[in-house]
Amino acid sequence: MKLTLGPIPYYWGVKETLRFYETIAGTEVEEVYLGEAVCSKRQLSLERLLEIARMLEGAGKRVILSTLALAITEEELALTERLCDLSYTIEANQMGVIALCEERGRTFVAGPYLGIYNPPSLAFLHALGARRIVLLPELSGEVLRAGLEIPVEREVLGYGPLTVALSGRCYTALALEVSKARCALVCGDYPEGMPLETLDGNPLYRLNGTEILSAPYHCVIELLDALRDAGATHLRILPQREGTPEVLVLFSRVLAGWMDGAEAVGRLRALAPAPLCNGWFFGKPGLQYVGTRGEGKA
Amino acid sequence: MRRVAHRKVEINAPAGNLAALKAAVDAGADSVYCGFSGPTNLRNLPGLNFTERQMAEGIAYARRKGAKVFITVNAYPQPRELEASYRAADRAAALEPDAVVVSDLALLQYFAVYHPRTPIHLSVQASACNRLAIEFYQRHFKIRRVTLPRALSLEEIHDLIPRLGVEVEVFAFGFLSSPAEGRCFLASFITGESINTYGACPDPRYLRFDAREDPKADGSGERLWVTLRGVALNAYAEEEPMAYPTPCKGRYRNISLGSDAANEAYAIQPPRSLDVRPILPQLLDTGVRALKIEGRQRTEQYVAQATAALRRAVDAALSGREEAFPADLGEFSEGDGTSPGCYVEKEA
Repeated sequence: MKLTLGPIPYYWGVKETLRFYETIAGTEVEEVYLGEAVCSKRQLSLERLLEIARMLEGAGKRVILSTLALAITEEELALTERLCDLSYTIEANQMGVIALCEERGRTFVAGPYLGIYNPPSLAFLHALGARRIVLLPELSGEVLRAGLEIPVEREVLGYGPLTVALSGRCYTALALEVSKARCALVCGDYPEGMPLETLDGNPLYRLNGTEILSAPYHCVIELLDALRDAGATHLRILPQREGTPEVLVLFSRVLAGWMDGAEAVGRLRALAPAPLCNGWFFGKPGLQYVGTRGEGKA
Repeated sequence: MRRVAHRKVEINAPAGNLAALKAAVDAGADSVYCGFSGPTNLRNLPGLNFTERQMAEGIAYARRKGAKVFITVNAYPQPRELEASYRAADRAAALEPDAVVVSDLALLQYFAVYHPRTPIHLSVQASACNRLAIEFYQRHFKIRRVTLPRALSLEEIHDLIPRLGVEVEVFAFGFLSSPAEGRCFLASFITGESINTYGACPDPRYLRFDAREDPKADGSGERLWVTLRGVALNAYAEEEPMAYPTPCKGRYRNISLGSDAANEAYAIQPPRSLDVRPILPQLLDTGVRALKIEGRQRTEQYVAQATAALRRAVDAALSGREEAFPADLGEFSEGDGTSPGCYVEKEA
């Protein structure tokens, strides 16, 4: 399994985003997904995106461009179409992007937002040009193991917050009582979203503009053998404001067999901005964490 | 009030059983949507949905009265449910419904290959909300209609419809939430059972309602706690209006704004129901072909009254009649009343 760096889930502004990718250029990660999947207002300008892409390529990384998961307007489609006209591989996060890739005879990465739950659906996307699927984190290990004969690369979320809802409304704007139309990108003030706790004080969700993330961070560092068995070829790490290079190093060391998962998870807990979870892999509630010493390992 | 251009607007009503189907048709529904029992459709709740015989009887009843029936086979099957879903597809097609309602790519392909004469409507669960995505489904599966997710504003629908070659259906009444359908895992994150695959949001067997002292309350006494598989969704003081027990209607503490009770809020969706009647002329003006009422889990009284009320409102709007918007469906709405939802509030 190889590590990839997923797109930044949050809005950090241009300066911080540049600084972040300069740091990433110095890490060993081979593939970097760039771009905005959540809200079109946060999208970097094409010039800026290309500048970052070239900088990363210069550092030996392969760049894949992510696309909006809930594109609605013609303006958003035009934005997406411009990305598809570039020479980079595209991560298609809604069916319209697949249509654009089909039209251009281009292969693509099928992103994690397409609602792919079974092998025939995956085979269908493969026939249209999908060379990799980023699997829905909701799928259990048992589901991942189905359809391994379909010749696509399989990327799974290794570490980061889970997307638990996408919306036309902006939850950050709602929380701050500002209008979405004139939001002035207030989500930029919350570089890891706005965590929500239940009324009895347990972290649950995380408002991130028009997306809701999990408050806990999904983490599979103790499940790498099981994931390999389930056909995973790539492991996606999601950027966080601080400590991303350290997270990448921990995963590399476990992948290389230099450190065991149980030790690594202890170190990850110190780096993560939230508790860890991975229950979905076991067909359990997504918010649970099941470790090697944990209950009912599947 | 101006007269709207589109004369043919269908009212598509939900039916969780035969009695509700008949009630909907009798109340003036042009079409009814319903599914088989089991996890092949997305209102998989105990005691709900149709056997094959009931479905056949329902179709015969609707046809006699000039109404259509759409069969939902709209869950996303995981590998172990695929065979049951294919069989549900066969059973649905054999009954020759006016359409099937589908979201999963495997099932869409299955219908296209094995039942090419069965008209397909793209379920809202497919979350197709732009021209290119809808054309994609039209090109590959010849869908005739798409139900739009509750994520588009009036203006966006107005801009979208003239660009499409398929009919557009939108939600008009019932449950209201803001996450796009088919892309919501709020409940699954808590219960481990996806609305997309199991079809219940949430499964009632995980819900508990118990009165207990609030651990952090300021001496205000007991509250009624609503928990889903042990996770607190809400807590109500006496006589406080209640929301539906779904995670999207939960009350949470936004700790970025402080961790005191002042920051307990409906952070995702306030407890209101959708009712488009106040904006019906504008909505019809977008060119929508059908108005969908949510609620296959609701009673036949709900189905009958919501259908009849929407029928009156549509007829009035189509004839250009000025009609006061009545508060006649209050008993079927959530604690905090009704809202025109995303259609109006999206940019607010």
